[in-house]
Parts: sequence; C-alpha cells; structure tokens
Amino acid sequence: MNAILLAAEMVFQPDVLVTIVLAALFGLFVGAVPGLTATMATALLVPITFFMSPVSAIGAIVTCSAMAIFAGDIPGTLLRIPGTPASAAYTEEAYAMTRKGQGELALGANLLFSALGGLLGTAVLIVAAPSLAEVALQFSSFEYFWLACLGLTCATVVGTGSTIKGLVSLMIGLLVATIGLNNPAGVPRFTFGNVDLMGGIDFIAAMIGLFAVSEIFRYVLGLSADTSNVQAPAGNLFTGWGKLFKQY
Amino acid sequence: MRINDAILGAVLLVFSLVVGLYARTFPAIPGQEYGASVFPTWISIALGLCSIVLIAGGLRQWAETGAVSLASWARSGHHLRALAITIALVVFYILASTPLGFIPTAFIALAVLFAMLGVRPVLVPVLAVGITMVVHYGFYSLLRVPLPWGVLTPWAW
Repeated sequence: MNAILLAAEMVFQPDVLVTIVLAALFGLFVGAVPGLTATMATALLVPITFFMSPVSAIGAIVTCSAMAIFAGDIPGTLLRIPGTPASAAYTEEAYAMTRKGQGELALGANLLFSALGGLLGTAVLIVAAPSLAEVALQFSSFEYFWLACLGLTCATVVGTGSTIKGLVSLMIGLLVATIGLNNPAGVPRFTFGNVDLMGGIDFIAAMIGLFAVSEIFRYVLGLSADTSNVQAPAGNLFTGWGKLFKQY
Repeated sequence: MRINDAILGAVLLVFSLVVGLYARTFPAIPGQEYGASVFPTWISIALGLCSIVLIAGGLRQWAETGAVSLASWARSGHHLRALAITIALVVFYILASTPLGFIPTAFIALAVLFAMLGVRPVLVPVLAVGITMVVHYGFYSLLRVPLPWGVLTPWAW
C-alpha cells in the first residue's frame, strides 16, 4: 500500500501530468490515422522520451499507446475504416450505430470501456503480477496452439452469419499468412519470385486493403450508407455511464 | 449483388486444388517429417471441403435464386465505370509510382478520382496538389517513409 501511495505521489506532479496530456494528444492523432498503429506511435515517441525524467517518459509511452488503441475506434466508427488493427473486430457494429444516428453514443461507449478496461487491467497487474507470471511461464507450445485454435474458432462461429463462409474466410486468411519465407524450412511460399512478398503480407497492408479500399469501392458504387441523418447527442458521458455499463 | 453459393464454391474448389497441387512442389526438409508444404496442404484440403459444402448448399437454393442476381449498380454503366476507374488507379499507382515518382502519380490519381466524384473543376487541381503535398510531407518528411522521387529526382529534398 505504501508503495502505491509513493507511486501516486510521483505520478501526480504537474510536469508529469502535462507530459501525459501531450502524449495522449499525440496518440489520439496517430491512432486515428488508418494504417498507423499504437506500436508505431510508441516507436515514434521513444526517441523523445530520452530527454524526459523516467516517470514522465513511462507515463508518456503508456498513455500514448493506450490512447492510440482507443483512437483507432474513431475512424472505425465514423468511416468503417479501423484506425488500428485492435479496432477491426467491431468496426461493423460501431459503424451501424453511426448509421442509426448513435455515433456519439458508440464513441462514448468505446472511450468509456477502453478506459475502464485499461484501469482494470492495471489494477489486476498491480495485485496479481507475480502469480500471473507463474501461470504465463507454464505456457508452452501446446497451450499456445490451443489458444490460437480457440481464437480462430471463436472468430469463425461468432463473427459471421454463416459458419461455412466464416470457415472459408478463415482458410483464406490462413493461406495469406503462409505467404513468404517465414516457415521452418525457410522456403519461399507463394511468392512467385516477387521479392516484396518474401516478408509475407503485413497486417497493416491487409487491413487497409480489406477495410479502406472496400469502403472506397462502396462509396464509388453509391452503396455507402446514408450517414446524413442527424447524430443524436449522447450528452454527458459521466452522468450516463451507469446506464451504459448496464446496457453493454 | 448475390452470387449463388454453388458458383463461389466451384471457384473455391478450383482454387484449393491449385493451391494444394502447388504446395506439393515445395521441397521437403531431408530427415524431417514436416516441411513447408504441410500447412498449405491442410489449408487447401479444408478449403476444398468447405467449398463442397458451399456447392451443396447453393445447388439446393438454385431454383429460388438463380445463378446471379445483379444489384442495381451492376446494371448502371456510370457506376461500373467508376469502379473500373478506381481499380485502374490502384494498379496505375503500383506500376507508375517507382518510375514516375510519388508526387506526380498521387497527383494524377487524386485528380482523376476527384473529377470522377464530382468535385468542382476549379477545385480539382488545387485539392490534388494540396493533399499530395500534405501526404508527402507527413510520410516522407515526418515518418521517413522512402517514397520514390521518380522523374523529380533532380529536385528531391
């Protein structure tokens, strides 16, 4: 408990708080640009942190990456183009809310639950980091294999209307992931002699192609949903967050 | 637009066969049971099974839906031309950005897109130049992405 109080005293200094706000603005910008990820925001920030005090530097990096992850929801909700890979899973739902005029509510829920999730995760880490580390150390190849299987089956069954089409897209995705040199044998697979394909298909490139380009096709074909209806103001989030919490 | 599942399934079946056969050509690792071909082969088998299920399901609905039911945009020449131009611009960027350089290529692509989407003719070149330079500054100068200079190499900064 003493350590936590001491840490709070170190964090709640004016200069640290100003750094955190600036880092949050930077993360907001980078995360909201589709194709620039939270990792990239952190990588760009790291050289600047060399000139800060340690507490400000760590605060800036943590804030920046957390903010960039949330900010990825902004273009996802408003344009159906996820800003960071982390937002890709629920882009459709958030955009559907915008279409119904609930864009502000969707963004509010994103913000609120990003913040709550981050705080909860930090709290768990503070309390249980050593025991979690013990569990994590016992993870071997078998556990990782089944974890990946669980993730893939969830994506197939939950994510789509038709399970068989979900399976088909899962297989196509796995096939795309085999492109490149990254296999135990080091054999170039499906590169067709193209040097650019040897490193495999980058996640960012795939995401831009799948979400951004398809949204542009929709727009060009006049299929983009009509978003001209008035967005209902969600009001003050802090007065209504109990309701949001119950609803979602 | 809806294409009958049977047609999609048939295309996928052919695709999975091609992938499976191509995967057989990957060299095996001497003395090892598993080589580079294992995963692509499994994926092609699974994809083939899925496509057979799709074909079976699609054939059952064939009578009601027909082979292809076209959406309204697929019959509109204006929309089809817009789609063709968009795809052509992506291909144009891939082919032309290295020899021509980022700035001219992006300018041409943006100008064509703006003109197609009904931006006022006076604004088209202004917006295209402005956005090209902003993107170039952001990615080339700030993020240090080595965008190609092409024909503008003598004036590169």
